[in-house]
Amino acid sequence: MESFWKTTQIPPGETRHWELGPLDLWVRHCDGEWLVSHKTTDDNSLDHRSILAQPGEFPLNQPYQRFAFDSPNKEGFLTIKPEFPDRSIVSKPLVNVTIPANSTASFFCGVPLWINLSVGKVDQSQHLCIIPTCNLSRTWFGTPKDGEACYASSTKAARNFSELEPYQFRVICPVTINNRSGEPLLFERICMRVNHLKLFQGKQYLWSNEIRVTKSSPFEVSQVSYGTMPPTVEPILAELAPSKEKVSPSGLLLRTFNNLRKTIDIH
Amino acid sequence: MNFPFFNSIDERFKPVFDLLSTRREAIFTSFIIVAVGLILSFLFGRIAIRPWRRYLSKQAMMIMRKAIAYSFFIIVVVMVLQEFEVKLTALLGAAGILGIAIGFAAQTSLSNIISGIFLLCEKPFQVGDVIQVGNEKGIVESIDMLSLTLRTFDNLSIRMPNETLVKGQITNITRYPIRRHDIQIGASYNQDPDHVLRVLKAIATNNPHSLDEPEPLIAFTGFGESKLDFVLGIWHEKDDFIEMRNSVLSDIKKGFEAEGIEIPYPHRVILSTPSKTESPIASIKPECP
Repeated sequence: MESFWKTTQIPPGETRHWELGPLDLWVRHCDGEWLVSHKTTDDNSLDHRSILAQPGEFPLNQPYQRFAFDSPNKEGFLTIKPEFPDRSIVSKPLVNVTIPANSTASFFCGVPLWINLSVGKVDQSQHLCIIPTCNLSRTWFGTPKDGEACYASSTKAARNFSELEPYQFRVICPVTINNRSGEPLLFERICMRVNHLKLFQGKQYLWSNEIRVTKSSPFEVSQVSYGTMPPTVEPILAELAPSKEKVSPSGLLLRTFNNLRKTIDIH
Repeated sequence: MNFPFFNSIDERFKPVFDLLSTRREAIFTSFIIVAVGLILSFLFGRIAIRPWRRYLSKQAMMIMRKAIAYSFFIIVVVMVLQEFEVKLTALLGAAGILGIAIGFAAQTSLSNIISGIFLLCEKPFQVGDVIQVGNEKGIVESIDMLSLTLRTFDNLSIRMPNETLVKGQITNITRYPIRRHDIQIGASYNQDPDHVLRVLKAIATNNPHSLDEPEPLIAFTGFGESKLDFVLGIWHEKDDFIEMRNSVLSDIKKGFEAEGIEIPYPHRVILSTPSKTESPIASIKPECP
């Protein structure tokens, strides 16, 4: 399978068009200028698209960004890299899952990616912009007084990764939930702090390192730890992006599930 | 030559010239005290506050800096007076009497200062918060000993005495990170309320500024004079208010039009029926005796 994430050469005066799931991206290289335009759709039937750098017309009739700078990059090298969104992702299973007391369950959750555009050779690259591949709705994780602004996403919470489609704009995040709280744990929303995640290119799928969540008490926050190695379920070809923020090996104490929400009168 | 004008100046300022000539040393020392006092006040104000930055709010630091500056000012004044051999005990005695007089005259100022201390302790808002006091809404620019300065969104600076703030009602708009904005909407009596609720739900779900948690409030609130009343309460991040309101109002207009939901204007139905009897009002001619 050809990697979507690589450097492309766009000669001056030419445009390239990418189709990545719900995203259409156009990049035009002018003399010393780069024009970037993109469009996302909510049409799920386009999720399978993965078309790399085809010559095309730049859509001047829709909004675009213009980058101008003096650069020795006459060859027109443009690199697109995947990266995690700038906020945590609150993932909601399509059907709520209950994890019985004192048991462990593993899931594979899909997380949408954003793409980072930069131009120039690897050692002299200049960052252009970051573009979301899909429209993510905003959500709030916490109470109305205190919490965290996140993006919302839905997940199948698949038990077997082969149930998920190998989309290039979604990364599969292995999540292991250990419920030691002595009470059943309703997994209806999980907050994934993606700035602690690394990104790997697998043979077919994109992968992140594993998230392990331990719930010790129904009244306490969760102990969250992040694996450093890629998952072993599929051969890994490369590490595409390091984590933006390091976590201590002992992990973090974080509010991860939203059971507190039920106790708050929001009206 | 004799110049009466210059002679009169000379006589008038003779005590000053005498003082300057006899107290040269004291004047020179006073200049040094003032200069060193200013520098120390500036440096101490910075250095003393630095370790407290994490723990204190902006206005607490501002007041602490001012308190340090005023303390240095008093020390400098006392030292300069001592240089000129002014008896401080007499001066303090006079200041006591003067203080009582000033106290009576400055009741409002004192009330403002005490109110300022209450505001500082209670912390109903901080510098940078958006608050509403009465009809005025704006960003808190500074909280001083006597007053608060508010910068309105049309860039006016409003000074509000602290006493007014303590006595009145203050709404802190940006205290919490998310807010709910309630939009009252009317739909025609011809509409199915469930259909209107579904359309409002779709508008809230699809709007990019609307948070999906906490869930938007969508309610059928009653029967108006000429419309069915609904409320759409959208939760949003506090910085997104303008974008959210513009886009949601626009979405409601477009969504209602697309779904054939009429937003009625106030109207009144007047029924006209033909009269079956004579007019109930008749003039009666008084009979003349």
